[in-house]
Amino acid sequence: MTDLRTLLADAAGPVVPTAPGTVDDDLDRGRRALRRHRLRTRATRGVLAAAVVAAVAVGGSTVLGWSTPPAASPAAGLELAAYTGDQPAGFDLATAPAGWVVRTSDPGSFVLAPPDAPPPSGPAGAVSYVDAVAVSLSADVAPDFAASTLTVGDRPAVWQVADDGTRTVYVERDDAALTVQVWAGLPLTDAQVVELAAGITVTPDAVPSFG
Amino acid sequence: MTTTTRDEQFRAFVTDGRPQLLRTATLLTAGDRHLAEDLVQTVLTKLYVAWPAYQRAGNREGYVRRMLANALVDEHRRPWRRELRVAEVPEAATAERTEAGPVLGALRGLPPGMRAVLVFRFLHDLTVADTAAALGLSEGTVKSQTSKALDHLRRALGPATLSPATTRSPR
Repeated sequence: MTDLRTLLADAAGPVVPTAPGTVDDDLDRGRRALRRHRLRTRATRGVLAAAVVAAVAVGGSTVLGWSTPPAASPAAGLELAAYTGDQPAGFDLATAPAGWVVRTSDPGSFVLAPPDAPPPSGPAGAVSYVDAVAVSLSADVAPDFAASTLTVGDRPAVWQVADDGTRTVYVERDDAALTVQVWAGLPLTDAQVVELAAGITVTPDAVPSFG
Repeated sequence: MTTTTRDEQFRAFVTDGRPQLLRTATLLTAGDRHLAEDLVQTVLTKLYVAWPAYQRAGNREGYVRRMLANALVDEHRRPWRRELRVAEVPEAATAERTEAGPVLGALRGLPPGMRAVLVFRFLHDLTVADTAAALGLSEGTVKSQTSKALDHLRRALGPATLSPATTRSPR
């Protein structure tokens, strides 16, 4: 009679040393993936910067400072529901506005949008942030978590509202921040935004973005 | 091409760690060595991209195990790769499977998640808590899946091969 560990170890097969060519192939795949990741990250940042500029222009003011959640929250119009679609790379999503889909994702960010939102366009596959929710694991933001009393899940969080109404919640994640940005005027209450953020798990596949 | 520190560290990791990663993947895929190789390549590619995060991770082995478990789950979300689980091992098993014996056949009768619980608990000797963390499950789910998986293995392998005493886990 054999113990299970031995049975499993035998079934797993012998330890075969890694051939140098195999290591080279693994390294080549990794390098190519990193190049693609960096290109996508740059493209996403470009679109996000354009979206923020547009938001500031529309709002007639600037996006500055951290603040507590505002007293007046937008009226609900969307309902959150269990998310059953394909999970974005690097994240697990528990809830989303009912019927919404992950429009684009990479290991550092993803965009949630209605199913009828415009598809990614242009050579870099840029996606619109209008009427969408953009989520990223950001290593280049510095919210003052220590000064905030807000928590999302069991983690410190900071709430930010731009003058144009764009709402952002930052959730502390070790050396980075899970950043959930909601387009101005999207009919989600603040409580729904927090609930949405609380349902996002950062997986070990996630790669923090640096500016 | 210029070799970076990341390249050197990654090379060392692959040289040392790939064989064990492939053995684990072989069990997670119930002996499908092609799929196991796919999983390992996927994990290593993502690991290279996420190398700084891996370096910062407090539990690096756990970090890679979690990536492997995620890759397995992702693979089984793809409709064209979903396995058909069977109650009995097909007679027309490959020579490789026949050689590896009834264990891989028994694993093949388990859902992938349950296989992962079994492999992490008994091959990697992880605690219930560590297995739960690696697979993103509750500890209660790990315990119940372990129990069901062991019942299945005992039925498939027979009491002469695997008895309750041989599957006792101290933690």
